Amino acid sequence: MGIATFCVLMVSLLLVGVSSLFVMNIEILLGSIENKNELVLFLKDSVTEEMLPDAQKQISALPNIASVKYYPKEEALENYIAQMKEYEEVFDSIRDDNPLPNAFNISIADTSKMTDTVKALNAFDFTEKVKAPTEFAQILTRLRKVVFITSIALLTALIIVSLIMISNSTRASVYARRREINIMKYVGATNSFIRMPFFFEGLFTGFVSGVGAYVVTYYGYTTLMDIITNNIAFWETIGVSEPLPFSQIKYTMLAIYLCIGAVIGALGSVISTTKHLQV
Amino acid sequence: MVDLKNVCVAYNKGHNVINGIDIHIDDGDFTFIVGASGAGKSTLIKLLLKEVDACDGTVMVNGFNLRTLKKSRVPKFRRTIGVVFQDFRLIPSMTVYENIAFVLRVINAPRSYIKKRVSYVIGLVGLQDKMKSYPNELSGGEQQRVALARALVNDPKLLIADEPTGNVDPELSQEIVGLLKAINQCGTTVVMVTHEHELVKHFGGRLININQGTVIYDDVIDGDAETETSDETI
Repeated sequence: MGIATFCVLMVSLLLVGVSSLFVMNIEILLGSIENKNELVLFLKDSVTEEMLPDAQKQISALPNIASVKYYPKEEALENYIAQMKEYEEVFDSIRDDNPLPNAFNISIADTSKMTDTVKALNAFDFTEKVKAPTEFAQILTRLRKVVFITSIALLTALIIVSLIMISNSTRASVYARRREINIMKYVGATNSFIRMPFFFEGLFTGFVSGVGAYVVTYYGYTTLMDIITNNIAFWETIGVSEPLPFSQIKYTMLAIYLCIGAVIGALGSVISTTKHLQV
Repeated sequence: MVDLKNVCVAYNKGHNVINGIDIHIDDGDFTFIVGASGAGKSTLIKLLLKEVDACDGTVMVNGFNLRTLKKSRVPKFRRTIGVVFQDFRLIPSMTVYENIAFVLRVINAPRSYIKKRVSYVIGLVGLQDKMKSYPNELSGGEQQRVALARALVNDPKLLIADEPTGNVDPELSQEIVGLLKAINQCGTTVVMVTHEHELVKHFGGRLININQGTVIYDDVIDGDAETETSDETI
């Protein structure tokens, strides 16, 4: 196994790694969109301030509730007025007779269970109305499913392609040693004995390629992130969190590269020896 | 011991390369197998090495029934056999010593035993001073002697020599067959496939002639000045 095998394996691993990073970032993007996804529970006018702690407690006790924050009608009006500054004078007249209801801003843990949560919230005596973007939540849930399935399919395909590439690439080195393999068979070597050196060679090449791919990914990704994070305004505009910092996943990435590299290297070598073992 | 009864081998259905052969070779025998090209000699060797399977009959070699032998047991069976090929099949990147020692490494023999045994067989074939040479530094005859030493190193019960003199000159051929005869006298069963009738006539011994996958002659002939009747048969 030589430089060619190392390069082929490194490129294959890079494809797997870059795809994984892409999928992870998409997940983060969807997650941050999901976090913006709040429900608003409007309280009945009959609900007094004394009743609020108990109401908040009841809401928090429901499954799938991440956080509950009281949103008084005064704050709601101020926010509303702030958004429509040019009509401030019009709203001034209703400051003393605020028509908006008191409310709770509720974040949920799992968007896919939003419908059930809304149903449970509507069942409370103090609930006037629940405003929930259920359609958007459904779209988001479907999108996550598609991203998940696509990423699994993509990674599986890439791993299979890598395996084929590495198996083809090691075939030449195995072919060069076919005479040795052939003689080994005639003198009574078991298949596992013959495969052993190829297995370890593949394992080692995979391991080294994994380290190589990690180094390339590290420099590539951090450079790209430097460019992107310098443009903070962009992320604020689209209202999502920044991309995944490499420091957060460096060990995961290293483990992925080393494991996949070693497995593909070893397996690819073993597959290419099989043909020559039929003696 | 080799015991073949009514054995057939076919590569394609309906066309038998070996056709109902019966051969019995006792322990300690020296047997020449001769025949024209395509007679089935190589297939017979492949059969004895469990490289091909019989489609009918019984194949017993060194106490192993090759028709029922599981794949996982083939290595164990092959360790009871030594093989010498016409093209030597030495590993170019290994020295003479390593080429021979490699057989014992395959069966996980202890290092001290490997050293002792390899030195012994190298002495047996007279290549003590070539131990550190590589195959490409040796003559054809020397390479064949290395191959012979390699076949002998694990003390096989049966030694199969497939045209061992095919790539060496007549003088060296006699030397190699002489070595095989000496090995045989130490108790190893030897089966030698050859097309060199002169050698057979010179050394004598049991002769099996194969033609179109069947045995057409099987008898013992005397060496050298033996009768002309056996020459005609060959």
